[in-house]
Amino acid sequence: MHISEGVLSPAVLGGGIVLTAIGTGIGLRKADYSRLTTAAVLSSVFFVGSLVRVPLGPGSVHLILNGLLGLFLGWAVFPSLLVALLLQAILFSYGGVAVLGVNVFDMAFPALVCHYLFRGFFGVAGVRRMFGAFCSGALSVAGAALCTALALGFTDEGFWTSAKILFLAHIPVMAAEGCVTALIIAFIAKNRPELLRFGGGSAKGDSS
Amino acid sequence: MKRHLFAVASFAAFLAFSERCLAHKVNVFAFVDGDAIQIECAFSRSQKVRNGKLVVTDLETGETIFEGTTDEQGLFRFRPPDEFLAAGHGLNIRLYAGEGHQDDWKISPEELRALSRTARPAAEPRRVSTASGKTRVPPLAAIDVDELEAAIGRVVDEKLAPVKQALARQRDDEPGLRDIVGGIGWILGLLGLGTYMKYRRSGTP
Repeated sequence: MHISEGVLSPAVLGGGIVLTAIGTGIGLRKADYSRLTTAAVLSSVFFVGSLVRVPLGPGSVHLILNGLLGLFLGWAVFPSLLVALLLQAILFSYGGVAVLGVNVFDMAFPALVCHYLFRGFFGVAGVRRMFGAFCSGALSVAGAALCTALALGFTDEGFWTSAKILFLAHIPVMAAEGCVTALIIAFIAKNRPELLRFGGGSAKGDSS
Repeated sequence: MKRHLFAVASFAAFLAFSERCLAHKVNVFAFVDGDAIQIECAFSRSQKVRNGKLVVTDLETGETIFEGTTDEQGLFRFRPPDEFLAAGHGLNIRLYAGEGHQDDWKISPEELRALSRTARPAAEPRRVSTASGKTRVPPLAAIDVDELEAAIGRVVDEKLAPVKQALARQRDDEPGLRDIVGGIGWILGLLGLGTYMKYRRSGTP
């Protein structure tokens, strides 16, 4: 879902940069520096996650994991994703530097929304927690597809065509992502339950 | 039943669209090959761009001079019109692979000159009629310079073809271990910086 350089109009690029700058500013201001390490680890996970291909039928999908980052980091998902996507743009030539604002916003905003929607689900162990984790993972990907389609809405391709294709292609990714997020949450709940204390309270981390 | 239909439909959609949507980047690579320009388009080494839209424009005027679509192997071959070649401009090849994927490749006027030279129809070796009515091929020294250039051009193209393909493949490479480790190193460096700032602000060692 990395939009390439040169596809979007300057207005959309500028909008993306402004929104990402606002998100990053809030993320850094609300930063809880005691969760800095969590943010750095999750940034690294996102950075590498998109290289891990999961075979599915004759094709393969790769993980996005923006839902997982949003769940743990809240607003700090913006600076975390900014760092990870900037490094992907520079080192892997994925996306680009000019389009970075749009790409960060596309991934971070749905993850932030899911954070506020589902953070109350993690207080007690059980099906509710797993449901919250699955939905965070799956809906963050769906939201990212929707935001990407919105950004592409101003190009020749148009919103509806982009949205339809992106959404349909990401249905298996949503399922895979939901399962992986649920598995990771289950693992953390068992081994490091203190990390899941973002249910209803302030769950902030930060990447520098 | 409805659920099964939905599953089948989404799986079919995934197969149809995943190639372009889930790709990280797209590459276009083009080179002069004999009397035409060969274009190769790929998302990665194993994923070629099928039915990608190609628009070729004049590098100086921005005018569109050619449009086409890649085949199943992500390949496209075309020869720019002679009027364009005569102008001596370079060209830009833009690939639209859909869903926000796009890439450009430029070919300089210097590179295109090789193309215009090989474009000339290779002349048949001149045959000289003799008094007895038989024809004979003239000796090597009498061969036209243009013919010689065309022949050498063809041989060099043949020899260079694998090198050009290797270059094209190199562009499609996935990130290497060095890039991945380097990126994680950067994140750890930023973590260190953040921790330093935190302790400096709080005044604790």
